[in-house]
Amino acid sequence: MTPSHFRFDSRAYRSVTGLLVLLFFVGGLFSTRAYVLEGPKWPNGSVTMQLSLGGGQALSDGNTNWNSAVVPALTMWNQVMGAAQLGGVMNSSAAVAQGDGVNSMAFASTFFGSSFGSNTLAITGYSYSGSTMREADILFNNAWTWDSYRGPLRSAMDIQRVALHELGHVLGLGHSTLSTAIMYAYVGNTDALTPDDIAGAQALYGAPSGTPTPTPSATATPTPTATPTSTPSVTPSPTPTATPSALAVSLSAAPTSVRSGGTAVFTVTASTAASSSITVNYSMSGNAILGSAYSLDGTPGQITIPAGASSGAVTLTVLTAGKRSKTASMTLQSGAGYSVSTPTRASVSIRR
Amino acid sequence: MKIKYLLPLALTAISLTCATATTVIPPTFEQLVRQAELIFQGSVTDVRSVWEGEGAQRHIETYVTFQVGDAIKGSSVGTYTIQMLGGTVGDDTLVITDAPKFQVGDHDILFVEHNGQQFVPLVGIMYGRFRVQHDEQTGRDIVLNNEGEPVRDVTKFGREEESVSAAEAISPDQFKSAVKNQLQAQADHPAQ
Repeated sequence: MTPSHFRFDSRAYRSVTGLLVLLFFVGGLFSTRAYVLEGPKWPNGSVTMQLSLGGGQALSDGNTNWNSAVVPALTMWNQVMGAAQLGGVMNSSAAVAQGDGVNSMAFASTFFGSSFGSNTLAITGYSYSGSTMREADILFNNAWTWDSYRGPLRSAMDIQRVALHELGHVLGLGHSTLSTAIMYAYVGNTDALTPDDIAGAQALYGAPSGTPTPTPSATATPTPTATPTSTPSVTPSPTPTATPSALAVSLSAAPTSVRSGGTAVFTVTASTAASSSITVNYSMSGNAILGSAYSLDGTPGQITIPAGASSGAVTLTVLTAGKRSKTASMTLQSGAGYSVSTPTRASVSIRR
Repeated sequence: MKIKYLLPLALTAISLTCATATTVIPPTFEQLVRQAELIFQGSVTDVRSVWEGEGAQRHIETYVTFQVGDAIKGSSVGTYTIQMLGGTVGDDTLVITDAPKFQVGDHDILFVEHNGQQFVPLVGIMYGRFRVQHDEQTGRDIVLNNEGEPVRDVTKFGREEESVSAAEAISPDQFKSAVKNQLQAQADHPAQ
């Protein structure tokens, strides 16, 4: 196979994007954001993936090559991002290795020598220095049966939607708390980006400009390159930077069940005392409605850890409780001066 | 009467949309107990990340040491250390998505398998780690999953996206009792 470069832009996806953008604005009226930013991101420009998945068999969506089957996943992200774009080397022969500064997508029987475990479909591993991504590799467990198709999940895993999810991790997104998002921790019938996913990507890399993009088809035959040596160069040895280590913050709630008129406290705890005041961002989700079922004190969406302290808190007060128990979940979001650490989400059950 | 017909429909709808993890298939409670080589409750006493390997295989590993408080399956006494891929050394970080993160002082119940061989040596990766936390309001210790959500019903593990049970969060003793009961059931019926 001859490695080849291409851009993942497609006019075919513009209508999809337009619909997603519309849904984003409509959905924004009714829901809070739920995406999670892990912290690091790529520098502006191209993030090149070596597609080494192989091929040679007919897939349900008509593709005959695993690499071409995942191309739309890169395209979908590119359609919604401005400052960074995913590029690729089709049918790459580059070595799939960790720590070489080359971003790979491949099938494997182990994750660079470590067992996948029987329940693992795919793993994304990425490395960063300071807050800058250096390398990301996605390995799909070849012990599973794979295919490529749209629509409801089948017994064989759909590589395209799993790739779409894993590429979200590559970009710097964590798991969304919205069950409809492609970045939700569970794969379901969602096989495209949702408004929440788009908002997460644009929080990292901004929205695309209005400039029309080139329009090869999503599964276009890649343009051959002169030589395979134009793949990303080997990452230089890690160079320590002056960037200070960010505080790691995690979340807890107590009590985890509260009745009408009661209160519960969400507490953000830092790994060490903050040398200066830190504002930690959060979002709310769950089937209990903020402002109706409960209220929160303080600045909406923010918890402050005062200088010299190692924690900050927000109090939830139950306003109304229905017959059925409802849940208010808080999820930490990334921000300046800290990194989020598990548990990043805490829930309070509200009951009569 | 309508509810009688709607309920099965709703349950069918739920089962049709029942999801599996994107990267990890959530194990059932029975699978957790059966697949685990070691099950214990312990406290994290040390977390240490180091560079290992050479050249293209150079990577960061993290060693998490537990003081074992209660061994439930297998022989683990005193301290026990698990080896996980990823971690932070100086300014360099290797992140393995879905891998749990441990801090000194954490109280956990772990379902361990293939330690030293698997990238995260827990059954179902993050699903093999349960946190023990004190609930100030009730004065009880409760069990949370890796995401920090209270565990209310172990029989629902691996069977739905999110527990909608209104039951109270279970205590570590209740959780361990369920594990022991499952172990006994598996001993009585090893073929199942």
